[in-house]
Amino acid sequence: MDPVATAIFVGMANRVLAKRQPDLVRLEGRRVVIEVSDLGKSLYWMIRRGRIAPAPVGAVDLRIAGSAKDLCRLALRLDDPDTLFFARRLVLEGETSIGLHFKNILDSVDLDWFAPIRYLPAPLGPRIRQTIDRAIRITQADRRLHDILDRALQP
Amino acid sequence: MNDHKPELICPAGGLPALKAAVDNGADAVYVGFRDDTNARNFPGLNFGPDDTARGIEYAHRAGKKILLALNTYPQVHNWSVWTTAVDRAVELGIDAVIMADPGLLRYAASHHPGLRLHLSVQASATTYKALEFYHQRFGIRRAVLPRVLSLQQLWHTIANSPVEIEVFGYGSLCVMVEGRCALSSYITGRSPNASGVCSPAESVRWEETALGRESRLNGVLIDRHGLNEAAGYPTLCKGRYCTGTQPYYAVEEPTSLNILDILPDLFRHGIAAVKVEGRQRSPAYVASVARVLREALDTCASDPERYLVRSQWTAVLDRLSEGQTHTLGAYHRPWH
Ligand code: SF4
Repeated sequence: MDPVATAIFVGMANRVLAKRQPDLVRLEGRRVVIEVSDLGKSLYWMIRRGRIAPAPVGAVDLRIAGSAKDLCRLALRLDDPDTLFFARRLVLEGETSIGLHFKNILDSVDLDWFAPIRYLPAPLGPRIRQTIDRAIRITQADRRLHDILDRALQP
Repeated sequence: MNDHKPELICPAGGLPALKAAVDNGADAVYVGFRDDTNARNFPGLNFGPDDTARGIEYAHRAGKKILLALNTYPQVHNWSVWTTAVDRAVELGIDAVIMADPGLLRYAASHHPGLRLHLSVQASATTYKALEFYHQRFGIRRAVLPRVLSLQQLWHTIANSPVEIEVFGYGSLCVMVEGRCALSSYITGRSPNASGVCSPAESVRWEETALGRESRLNGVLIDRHGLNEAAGYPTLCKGRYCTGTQPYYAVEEPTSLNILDILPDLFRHGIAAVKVEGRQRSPAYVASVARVLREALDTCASDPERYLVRSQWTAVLDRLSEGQTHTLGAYHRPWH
């Protein structure tokens, strides 16, 4: 895959996984390839010093393969990997435990869309955050967004 | 016995799944600590100290409960890991602990008399006499029954039970009398009761070959799935074996339990809670299953006589299921 796409993936993954470094250290040195089967692209990466880093093309410990759509559905948490795996839409070859470990780390990340608000000057931050939180709850905006994405990415 | 609407108990292997359960209609969420004190001891799964406290706060704020599974069997050399976990549960304000080991139940009952105890499915108690024993000795308040009873056996147990009864409502099947499965030890040397896992990931290998996907457990071929054939978890009980000429599912097929069809009966007989399997699954699974079961329970509660399973409920659940199909499991067996 081209270096820009790899850099974007690596950057985003490290952002999401920033707090999970201690868990990632346990996978130190392991190499993974994600193959986007319908696009014919492969993304090689590895765990280096508790972070995701680009890896050279070559031998890997784990191979993950799926269509672009399905991989997006996984990344957006619209599907769980077991579901796609049962349906034969996800391939996992090599050291299964790396895949399971990584999946569990990802699942444990509490995605916080409002993190930037925290940097607002106190006491503004918490108040705005509360307001937004409440607004989301009342309008169910998160569920709606979820449903829209789900429909857009129907297999 | 209580005859009101059964509680919906959902699984969570991490904070996002816990939130998904609470937001989508669970009455209680069951979790485990990140160690071998529970029967889903998978790498990276479960709750560390911070997550547990945050999860409890999230659930309690929404008026929901958190149950903690401490349902594996401690050994002599690691006994204190389990007792420390019980103490921690009390400190954290867990609403109930789910346990199987009689020694640990005794510890909890004597050190924390106020702690609500549920008997885990791993204890494999299938008769009301067994439940009476756990009730008298340790004061358990609820029991989760193994997925091996026929409906007649279930009604009989509920009618005579001194404690509330919780049954599995949806999720992967463990076909043995839970807690007594020695199949997995035979091939991987591990079992749910002792290690909290029956098919440890390090023993599992999948390979895509020209003939299909091959699943191996500790090097032993347990199944081969043709190109578009739906698959399940790589447990020994759900492999295909040759006992004659053709390989077939000799023990159990890859499929998931689904009790939507018998919900009105469960209501009538006074089931206290319906449990969803799957602490190893992701938040997306928990959210979908919780939503469907919430709707089904509410529909059934409002008019059990006219209750009908909606086809979209079944569609959603089947999609998430092993083998993408469902079964009533032992519930529909004619034996008594
Ligand atoms: S091998 Fe099958 S029956 Fe045995 S513990 Fe595992 S899932 Fe249950």
